[in-house]
Amino acid sequence: MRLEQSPPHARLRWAAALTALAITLVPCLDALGRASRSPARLTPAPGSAPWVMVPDAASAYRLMSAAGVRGCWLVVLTGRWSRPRSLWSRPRPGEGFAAAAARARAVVDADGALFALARDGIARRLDLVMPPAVLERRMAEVAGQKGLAVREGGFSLPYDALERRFSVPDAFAAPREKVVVLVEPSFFQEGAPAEAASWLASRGTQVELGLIATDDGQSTAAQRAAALALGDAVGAAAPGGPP
Amino acid sequence: MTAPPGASFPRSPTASVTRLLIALTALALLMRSIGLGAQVLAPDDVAVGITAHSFVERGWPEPTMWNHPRLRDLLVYLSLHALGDGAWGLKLWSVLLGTLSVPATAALVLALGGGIGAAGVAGLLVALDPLHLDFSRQAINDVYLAFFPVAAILATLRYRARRRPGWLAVAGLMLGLGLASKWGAAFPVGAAAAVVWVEALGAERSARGRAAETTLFLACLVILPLAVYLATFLPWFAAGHDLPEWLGLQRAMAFETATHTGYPGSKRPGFPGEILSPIRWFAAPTWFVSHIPPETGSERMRLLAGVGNPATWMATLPSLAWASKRWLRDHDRAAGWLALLFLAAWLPFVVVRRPIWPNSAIGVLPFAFALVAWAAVRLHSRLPWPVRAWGALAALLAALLWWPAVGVETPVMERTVRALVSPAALEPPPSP
Repeated sequence: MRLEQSPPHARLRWAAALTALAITLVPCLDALGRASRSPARLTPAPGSAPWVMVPDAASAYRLMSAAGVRGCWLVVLTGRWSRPRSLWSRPRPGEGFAAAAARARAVVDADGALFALARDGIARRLDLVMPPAVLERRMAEVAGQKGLAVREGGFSLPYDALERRFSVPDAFAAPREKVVVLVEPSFFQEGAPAEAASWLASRGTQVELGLIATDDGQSTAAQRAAALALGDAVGAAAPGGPP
Repeated sequence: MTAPPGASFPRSPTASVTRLLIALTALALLMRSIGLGAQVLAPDDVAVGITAHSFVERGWPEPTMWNHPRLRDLLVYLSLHALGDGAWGLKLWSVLLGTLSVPATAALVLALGGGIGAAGVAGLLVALDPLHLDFSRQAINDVYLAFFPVAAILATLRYRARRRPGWLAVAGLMLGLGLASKWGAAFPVGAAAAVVWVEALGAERSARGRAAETTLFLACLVILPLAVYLATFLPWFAAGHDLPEWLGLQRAMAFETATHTGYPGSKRPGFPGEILSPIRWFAAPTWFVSHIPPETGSERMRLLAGVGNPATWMATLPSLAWASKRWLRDHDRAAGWLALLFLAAWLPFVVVRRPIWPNSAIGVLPFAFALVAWAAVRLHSRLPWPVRAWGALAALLAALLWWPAVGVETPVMERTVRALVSPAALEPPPSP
């Protein structure tokens, strides 16, 4: 059987067209990703401080969720690590998947807030800054876990598809993009900078929006007072108030 | 003399081939769709629905199988919107692609010169296999791998026969969809493409022609599939991620896939007898049991037990041995092709050192059964009665094992399943 081969130029035309299509797709998707980040939707008016007081991390989640924030790089200054229960909901009979997801969103608490922020596409990366003693405890908990990468002053440990970096303040490397910062009161203990806002600025952190929680379930009265003091210092909007 | 592969591809299917393919498709669809709407959803099915919503709407590939590619999420999300949140919304694509893998397997045997008899038997074996059937009725996407790679190879062989670049582009599209289902699609398609590419270069007289051929292969079977694969991550990009982060995700997925030992809350490795080394897939009964939690008002755990038909699965390795002998001794090209495709699909799992769930065997089945069908039809002319006896046994087992695969429990079926499946696997799984 004689094969009827296409001439070389016809084959090259096909190759060029397909390659052009593929090459065009790459920057388009990259641009789509960068354009989809929308932390600025919660940014206060020009000239005002980019800081807001919130009761706790769950309120921060609800605030950002309601405002349609997507794809932000979230920096969390905290002195605790929670173990949230499963935050997925199996649909009840006749309920459907969308309604089950809405039900799961409604029960987010301070312990599950970070996971929920990632699950709902609000935060795409997490940077957790912890006082040295807290980080040491956390490191002992995760020793030997798959994917753990230890470095000076911290470690990286992704949770499935979510990138997470854990650092002590001295080892924190500021992201090169504007970030959303969540400060929890338990952060304020030995080894943590008291002037968190100016410390963030000194590390080169570009704070697009800062959220200061007045409680996190594990903080002392002194730590909660320190959080309120930070809010005063940066001129944060009142708890529950609009940014 | 056996016709060269691809060259035997009929210019237009004869009426008998068309009738065969239509009949196989109808049978496969019937077997996969009967009672599907009434079949109780397994935990995996529900997790697939939640994950489809989560990924498409928020770019988060959880709660199940985050380390696998994401075509399933896109497809299931579409079907959930079109058909609602029930069984058909979740499983439409598994039913369709599981069904299409039947005529595709038959067409593969035809394209490789195996003849219409072997094509018909191969299609029947896939259509009636209880484990293939089970996965065609589940929302998880393993059965996609029984179609896309076969379709890609068919299109590549079509290109080999016709030399029209469009067919190679179709092959690339199918390969891309296969890769976007699971990465294992690359192996059999890669093997077939390599052979066709070498043959195509040999047929070229000029260096320019060889360069054009190589460029076309690269564009169609490397660049295009990668672009299709990349495009299926659109919702992930829409969640704010950029290209470097996508590359990081791929590294994380590869790491997890290479070291995977189960998802939290799902069945764990060591679940008695289920996770066989792939080297035993075709030497011992292979099965997958889904435990369905009791519904309100009932205390009994229900089971969906998909058991690969032992008569056909265990005929694979003898068929491989015979095909290899025919290839090496008699230069039987159809035998060589069938052996090559099966080995390319199967061996990558054999060499992996982590637990492999029987799900992955579904993507190997079309190539295994193409081989078995070819051997059975060839052998039938020499030993008709033993082959007929084997066929009768295979039909009997397929009939017995169809029921537990679709969730119908009767004492006879249960005894059959218990004889083939580890009794421990039929007990409720431990709590996560």
